[in-house]
Amino acid sequence: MERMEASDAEAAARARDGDTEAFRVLVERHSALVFRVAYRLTGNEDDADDVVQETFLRAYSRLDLFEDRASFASWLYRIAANCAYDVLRRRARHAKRFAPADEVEDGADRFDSGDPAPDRLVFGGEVRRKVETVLEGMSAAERSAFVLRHCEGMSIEEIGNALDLDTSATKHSIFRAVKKLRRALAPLAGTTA
Amino acid sequence: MKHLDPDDLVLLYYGELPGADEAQAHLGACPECRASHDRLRQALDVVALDAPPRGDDYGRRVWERLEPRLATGRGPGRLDPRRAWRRRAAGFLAIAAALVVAFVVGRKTGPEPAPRLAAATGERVLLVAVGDHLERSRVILMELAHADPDNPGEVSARRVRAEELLDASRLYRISAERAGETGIASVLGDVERVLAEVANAPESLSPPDVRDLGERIEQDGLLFKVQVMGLQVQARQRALRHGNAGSVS
Repeated sequence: MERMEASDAEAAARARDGDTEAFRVLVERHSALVFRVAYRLTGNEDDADDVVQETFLRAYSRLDLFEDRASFASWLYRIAANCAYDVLRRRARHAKRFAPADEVEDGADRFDSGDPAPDRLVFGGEVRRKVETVLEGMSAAERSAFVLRHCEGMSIEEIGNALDLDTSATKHSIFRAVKKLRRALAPLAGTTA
Repeated sequence: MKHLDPDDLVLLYYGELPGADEAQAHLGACPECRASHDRLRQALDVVALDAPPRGDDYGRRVWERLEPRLATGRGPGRLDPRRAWRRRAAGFLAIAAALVVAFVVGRKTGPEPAPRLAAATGERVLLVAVGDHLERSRVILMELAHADPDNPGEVSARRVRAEELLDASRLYRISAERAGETGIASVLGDVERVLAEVANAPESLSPPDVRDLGERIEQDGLLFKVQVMGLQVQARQRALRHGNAGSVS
């Protein structure tokens, strides 16, 4: 693991000095990781591919900010989270501008008596779809903070740093996200919201 | 121990609750909280998000798309002498801000508070530094508020300056908070949010993004707040010179 990080640092140092080949190594090594977090955050393959591009462009132009002792993967990860967060905020602004005024904003509210019975859904593809639908209804901050905490295992402090949110805002984004998910998933797991 | 509230249970689930041992002990003794915790765990345990596979050649495909864009970009961080100079300037700004913070906080918490003179000197240092910083911030905010949406480069070009100001702004805000200057800290916090957005803006902003940014600066009345705070700070500087001042809140 240390060897991998060391070679990342070496490649980053060479890339900073203009060695494009060294940057190619970093791109090829970390693209899958960046795509994974980008997809989880945006929920859309095309957006995630764009986030991957933007992440590496941003990383390349800011290589001087990368500290050699740090983990390149973690640094890149934070940039990716921030890029994906930008996409979500742009998407939300666009939706706000063009959505009808009475459109439901909270994805959790879309689940009503029309849904299939719980026993057909538990642990199946429907659960995933329900989760995705709720995530779509969340604000950019809620979705990003929740996914980074729940799926990517980042600490609240790391999430705040990546998204430029203070600790309190990060926590409350996660609390709101969890509340929305619980409300939607309650019938599936036999829970109450 | 009182019952755990739902937010505490969420923090506990993610291993981020301060005093988790105490909370775990409470769960062992309280069936009500334990049931709430179990329901939360059941709900969250089923939430998983898989990413579709990209194949072994994904990295190569990413590079093929990326490489031509790198050639037209501004190059890796270290190669641009102007950027390197700005980076150094940002460092100087941050160091200057840190010195102000150390000075002001030192005056507030130092072991030998020399009553009026020391307090007045610390306040004057903070006011001069913040006054200058507010003026720099006002200029960039005005430029951003009036940026041409059809020329998003106007915002991107200010990214590095926003980064520089952001670093300094955070330090001044901390200093103001510690000095009990809540009004100044609040305005600096508002400024920080816009600066952070510009500093982290993508290379290719769209015209609607630029328009949104300008509208938000206008709607939040941020320029006005910065201007008013700048005037108040100047007034306090003048008052201090004449031996009479009060905090802005």
